[in-house]
Amino acid sequence: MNACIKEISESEFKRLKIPVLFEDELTDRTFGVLSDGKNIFKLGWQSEIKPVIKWIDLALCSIGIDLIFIIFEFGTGRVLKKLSLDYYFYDTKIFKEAMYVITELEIIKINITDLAIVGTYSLPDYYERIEFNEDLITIKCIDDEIVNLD
Amino acid sequence: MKDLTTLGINSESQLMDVFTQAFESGTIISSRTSQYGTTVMKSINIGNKGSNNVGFFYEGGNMSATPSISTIIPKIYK
Repeated sequence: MNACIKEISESEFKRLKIPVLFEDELTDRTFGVLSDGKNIFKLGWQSEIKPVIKWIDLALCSIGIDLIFIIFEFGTGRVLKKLSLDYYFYDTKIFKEAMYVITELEIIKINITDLAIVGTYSLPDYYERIEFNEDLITIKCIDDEIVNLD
Repeated sequence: MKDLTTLGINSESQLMDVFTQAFESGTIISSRTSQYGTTVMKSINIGNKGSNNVGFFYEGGNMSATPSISTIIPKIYK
């Protein structure tokens, strides 16, 4: 379960005939290939930061960047879940059979068994960090705003 | 910040102009209400360079109050 993204030029992106995970021809300015040494995919995005890759299990992988988040099968490239985010993607965490897609003002909870969205939590201010305890999930926002999730 | 500069927004006053234009004549692309308030996302074109999505947050859902800016999402066209 080791995969990495290597940045490539736009011309190389266009030249490569490999499956596309996501792209936006109108706004993409950064391009890359994602590979585990066996499978290879290409993707494009707007910002200059790197996408966050998170494995769910041996077969499923997620990627988030800018305003997009996907879950896909690494062996086939089939995208099983695609979210167009309302706020900038920050990070992805997994805790107790759930995946938490963290954006600047919202957290989306996905059941990793069936990939259904089981909760969307608005934040009172910009996300700062998340802490997972046995029975409680605590989200700290800037200005010391705290949100607790069950 | 770099994305805003690419769109020709280099100063606070220019940014305020974008907020004003988005508020007054932006196209509403979404409206979402939470326990904290309502966010109306509006989009405004910046010439042919791109667009800015601006989130206007109305605390407590009071739509007659002056909103605060919750987010700004620049999109730069190639």
